[in-house]
Amino acid sequence: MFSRREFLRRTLQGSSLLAFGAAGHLTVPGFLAKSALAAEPGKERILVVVELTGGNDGLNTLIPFRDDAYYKARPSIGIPSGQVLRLNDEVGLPFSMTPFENLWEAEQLAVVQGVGYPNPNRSHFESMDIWQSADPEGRRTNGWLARATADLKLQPGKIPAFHIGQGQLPLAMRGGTAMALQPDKEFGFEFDNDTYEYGLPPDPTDDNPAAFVPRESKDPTQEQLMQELAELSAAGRKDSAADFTRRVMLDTYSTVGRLRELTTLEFQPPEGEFRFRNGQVMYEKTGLKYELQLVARMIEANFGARIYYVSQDGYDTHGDQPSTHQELLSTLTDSIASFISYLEEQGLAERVVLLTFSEFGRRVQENGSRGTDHGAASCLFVAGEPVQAGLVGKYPSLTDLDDGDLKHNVDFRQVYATLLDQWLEVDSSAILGKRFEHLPLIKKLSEVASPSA
Amino acid sequence: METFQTMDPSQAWQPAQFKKWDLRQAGHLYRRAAFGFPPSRADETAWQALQERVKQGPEACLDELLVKPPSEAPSPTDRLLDRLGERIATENELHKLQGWWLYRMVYTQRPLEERATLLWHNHFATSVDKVVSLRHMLRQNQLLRRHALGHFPDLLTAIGRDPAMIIWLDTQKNVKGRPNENYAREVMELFSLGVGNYTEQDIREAARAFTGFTLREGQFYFNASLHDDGPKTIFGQRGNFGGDDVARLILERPAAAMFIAGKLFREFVADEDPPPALLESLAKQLRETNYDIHQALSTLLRSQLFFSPAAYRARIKSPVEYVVGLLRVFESGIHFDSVAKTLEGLGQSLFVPPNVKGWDGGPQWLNSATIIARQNLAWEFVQGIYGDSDAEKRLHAMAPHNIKSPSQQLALACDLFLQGDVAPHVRKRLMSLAQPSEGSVKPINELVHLVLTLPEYQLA
Repeated sequence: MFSRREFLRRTLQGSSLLAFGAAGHLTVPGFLAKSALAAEPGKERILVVVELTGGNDGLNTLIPFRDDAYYKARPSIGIPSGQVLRLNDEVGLPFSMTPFENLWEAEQLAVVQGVGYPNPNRSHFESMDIWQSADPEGRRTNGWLARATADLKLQPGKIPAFHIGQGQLPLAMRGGTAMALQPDKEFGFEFDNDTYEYGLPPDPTDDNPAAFVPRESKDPTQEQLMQELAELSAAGRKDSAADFTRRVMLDTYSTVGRLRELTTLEFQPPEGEFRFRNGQVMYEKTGLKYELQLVARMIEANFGARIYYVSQDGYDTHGDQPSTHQELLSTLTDSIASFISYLEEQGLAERVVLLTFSEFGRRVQENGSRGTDHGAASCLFVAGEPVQAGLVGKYPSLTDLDDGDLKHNVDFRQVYATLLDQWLEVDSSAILGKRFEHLPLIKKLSEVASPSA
Repeated sequence: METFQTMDPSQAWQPAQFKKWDLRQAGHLYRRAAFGFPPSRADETAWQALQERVKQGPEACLDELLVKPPSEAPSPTDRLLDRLGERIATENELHKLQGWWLYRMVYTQRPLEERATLLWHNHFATSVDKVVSLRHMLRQNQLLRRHALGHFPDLLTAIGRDPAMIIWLDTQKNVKGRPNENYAREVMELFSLGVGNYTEQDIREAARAFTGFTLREGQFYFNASLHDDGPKTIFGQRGNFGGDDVARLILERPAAAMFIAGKLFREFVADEDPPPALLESLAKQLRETNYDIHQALSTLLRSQLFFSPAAYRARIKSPVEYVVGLLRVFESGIHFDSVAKTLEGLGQSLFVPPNVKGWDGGPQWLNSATIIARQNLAWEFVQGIYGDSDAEKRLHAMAPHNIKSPSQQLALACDLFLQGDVAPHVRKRLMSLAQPSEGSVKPINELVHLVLTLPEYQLA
């Protein structure tokens, strides 16, 4: 953990006040200025959402190894009962998910069974939109997390939600205040190099504040001018393309320096490895493990966001499913387990809950190409120290099917409602349009070392 | 300001009446229909071309942009470009083929055709990631161009037999007795009708109709023995339909014309969904003209709606529009392959859309990474990194008589890149950097860079 001084310095360094202060333009973008509900720095509860893109096969993720119907429907891709990590006498995980077995034993894993929604849609895009807008009727055009951002308690000037990944901002985060980061890209402007002494940005490990003063202090830098001109430019009508463009530019300019810090790699001779400046070893700069690692470092560096969103693509396993699917689950569980263990080392685990979801499960019956086609209900995971461990909901019947698909027992909005009300502490009924029955996913407050107290 | 919600649908599509025709209006038209003003030629610089467009008035500009491709033999330029593309595709280097298309977008004599080709690439979004063969990708690109401003039914039918599409959406795996619904679903959901305008049964039956569509030696081949020739019921009509019938049945649905009209609106008018009542008139025209895209775009580009304040700077430039717009000014001695390598970081790698739904576009074009990438690319352009001249040299080459001082250079850059759309406070601040009362004079390249980084420059 940082010393208080280091912590303050890092916080200030990231704000436009200090980073761009040398030129005398002490402007804070308007959207940053308003923050009605202040949160205490370093105490916020955080939700991390992991999207499994493509429709995860819940039946080969949480295996009903006692059920003959399972093996009958899956003659070539069913996972034998001898290759199952048993969670109880009925269901278990495949060997590829061993890291989750450890979380299970540490009582940090809730497994929600038979999650879905009425009249399931089997289109990837439609069903993904339903999960992300939390509206099976498809009328809402903004995301459930975006709607939550309006009510979240935040430290002043912080961006409430980040999407980390290659693609575009997911629907779940559209229509509110959220920022999309592509972690494999350089977080720097080519034209700011000569701003600093020796052509390098300031070294955060150096305690000498002079290092933070740009070399030429009289003329504003290109980066400062760019920000100043964006602020001066016409905002246009609210929510117009011009307004949006200006806002996302100002967001970027105010965050870029801190992200550069978190993503800069240095060659550290003693170990002969590339490491981040906090000493952490580099993983490949793509993929779920890296992205979750970046999330952990953003939490550690007090970015102040309440919601982080990452994705793992590849779950659309229509053909030759077994090896692909097990590989995905192995990456998924390894990435999540190392994320949580890093948070534990930093003493941050009590503040973070992680949710996985996918747009649908797969058909019960395997198809002719050793794969599975689009289905309906599936399972999902909620992980982390604050989580009430255990199996939640009932495993759907494999014989009482809806058009070949599992029927859901749990509405996914119950999961959302629980996390919104009990974890993020915002009113779920306003965000989801009505009240949904909670699930036992979060430990009772008395059992959690309450971080927001 | 009048919005699309409050516009009178009976008036909106009527031809605009121009009281005046200035840089702003000409800029609007050329940004949307042509990636910006034409590049410099031997006998005319880009600056002269721009002034000429303002002088000659709206009708001449619209006629120029709406020129049709020659109906018989392709022009020598087109033939050259086609041959060049075919040679490049054999080299199997994606950046070269992307560079080739960028080159074509810059130098084409029919920029609207390229704009429409780009639209169809995003509409029938096919990725080389799965198709692998660049030759298939090029052939699809040529197919999209051939039909870009033609009749949509021809395009929809042709795309069902396109080898890249057949690989992309598993049409080969769709055989009698073991249907694969991938293509049948996407053709309705994403290519023609949109969700809610077909049933699961329509998809299942259409998939049966497409069975037997496959490839042989890289060409389309209909394998009758794998085709399910039994009767099918699609949209309530019963018959022994084949794949080509599906396109016809789809386009008889009123929803199809609305879907295509909506696509044209979002590509050429604004980043928002207009009220259906407003689209209806364009949809009706599409239905009555056998989906004549050229005619629809002619109506659209001439319309009051298109030239209304609601449409002005109401679209975020796609990365490709952004890059081609820059290239049209900085084109001298450009290494197109190198520029193509920047597309991925900007968020739109040609021939590699993220999925079959294509790029969502609009606000999704801009995030911290793509903004940094745009501002860095603009910096590289003004420094002359991709071509043979920096911003200062380009401005001088275009308008040697206009430029005497840094502030005149800056004023020229504002007109050239932003057609005068620079907010007064911004202009004042920029001018103060060109003639500072204290501190040092900002180099013109850096001033031009600041112009290119403005929010307004990101808007088409």
